[in-house]
Amino acid sequence: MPRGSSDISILRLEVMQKFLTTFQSPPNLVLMNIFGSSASPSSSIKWESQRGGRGMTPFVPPGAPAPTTAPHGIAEHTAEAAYWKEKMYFDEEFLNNLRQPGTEATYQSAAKTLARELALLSNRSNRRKEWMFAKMLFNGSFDYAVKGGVKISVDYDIPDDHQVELADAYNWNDGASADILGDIQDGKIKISDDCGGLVDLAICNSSVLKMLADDTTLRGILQKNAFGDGGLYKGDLHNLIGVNPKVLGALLDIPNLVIYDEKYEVRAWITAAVSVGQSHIEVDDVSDFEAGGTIRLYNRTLNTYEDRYIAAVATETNMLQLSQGVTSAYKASKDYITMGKSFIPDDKFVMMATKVDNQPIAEYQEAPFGLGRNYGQYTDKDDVWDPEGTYIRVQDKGLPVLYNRDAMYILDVKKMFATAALGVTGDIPASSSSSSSTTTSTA
Amino acid sequence: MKIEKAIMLKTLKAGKTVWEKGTVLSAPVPADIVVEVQKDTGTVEVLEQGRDIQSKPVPVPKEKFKKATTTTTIRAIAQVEEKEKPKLKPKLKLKLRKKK
Repeated sequence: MPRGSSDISILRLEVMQKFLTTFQSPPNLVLMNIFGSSASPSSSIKWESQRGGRGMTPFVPPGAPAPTTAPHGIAEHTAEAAYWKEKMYFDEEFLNNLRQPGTEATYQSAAKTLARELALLSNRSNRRKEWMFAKMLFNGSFDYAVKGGVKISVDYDIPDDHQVELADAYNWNDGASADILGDIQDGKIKISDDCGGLVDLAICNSSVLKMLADDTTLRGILQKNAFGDGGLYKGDLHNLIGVNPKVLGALLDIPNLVIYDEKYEVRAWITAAVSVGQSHIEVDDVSDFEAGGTIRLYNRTLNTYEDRYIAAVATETNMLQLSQGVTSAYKASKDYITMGKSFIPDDKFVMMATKVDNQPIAEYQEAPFGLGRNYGQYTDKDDVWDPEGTYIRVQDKGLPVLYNRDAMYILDVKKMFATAALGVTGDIPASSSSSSSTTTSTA
Repeated sequence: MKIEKAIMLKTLKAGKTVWEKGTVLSAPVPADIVVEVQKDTGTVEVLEQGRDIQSKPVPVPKEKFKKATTTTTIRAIAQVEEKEKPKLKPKLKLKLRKKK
């Protein structure tokens, strides 16, 4: 009599782990692939970061003692590693299909489903790692939960003069005095002056690429008689904006101009009934929801959804304040919300020297976890007796760290709409209170 | 709007000029900073707001007679003017009667 998953060869731990390692480093998640990783001896991650650099040994008269030196601008940091995991349940019918009791086709179909589900679990875990890198590189800090359910914040202490916002008249999208080329040059000079690094990577999403491509000054320079071969609209075109980022990168003298549009999605269940016109909703977990994001409320009775901007997030009460009231009623524990958000915000253009003095400026530190002190993405399973089935779990632990705080320049190129009364900032167009919402049938 | 003192909440760049986070600006505050305050962008916090002479309400001159176009209005205004006249001293009244 078979029990659980014991006799299923495809569910052996080493086979599943091989599945996951094959899926690792998905090519569309670029941030986590830019920098390398190393193993930390404990879950308390310790690292040193530097400001400046380029020190030089002084002249000393022969016979005199050598002056003592130490790297200057060093700060020591410590933070608990972030830990994330989740599991998926596979029932007895699915396990029987994997045992090959029926036809070969049944087995193949079940094995294919298992592979797809494991890839999904692996990608979800990788997206969390990517999210941490995005927060470090574009916000300079992020929050996560540690032992005891305590929420802590890690701040990478990026200098204030490396996180710059443009004044209203100089915004790239609609500023009367916008000077894109000048702003980028200033950023490159700032990095070079402060740490000697040369900007070799700039990242933004297609929203900012559109601002670059639409800028009349840049377009004027990129004409055939002025710069290059006029190939802004030729060659390896971006799939959304239809311009060639390499041409812009060549003009700006940045070897890698990466246009990154990858998004993540978070979901939460509504925990208290929402009536028509209500502008706040209670959900089971607001952890990853952000003010300024767009949520989609799903009404599973009517099979409809509607979109609303998040005006504020109350973490203590698990409540979201919406930009305006909802047009449909929602039931607790039945209806849910989702929020899709880009890893790179719509208003950021980030430049960095990925190496300073030939050393990488950031790294991912893996931390040990579990009984076997595992490192990196790890999967295991647990058989349950009633209802008979198997849980497959994927977990990971670690933290991205920043070694050189001067090597980055985060430029805020567009004003986000400020909701003064709520004290939060969101990308809410001032005149779109009615047009911002849509109700569409999903049927 | 007249700002006496403001503090930068974020580092702000306006062309070649950069105001670093934490910088306290005193009057006269640059126009770019005033725009940030007016648009409530969250980059600047006003610490002290001065009296703005330009924005004081300008007194509107009375134009009673110029606006009066009909005879009825003129009569009504004249009656008002009559009521507002200061009462003459009795002695003065007598003198006036004598002259008649």
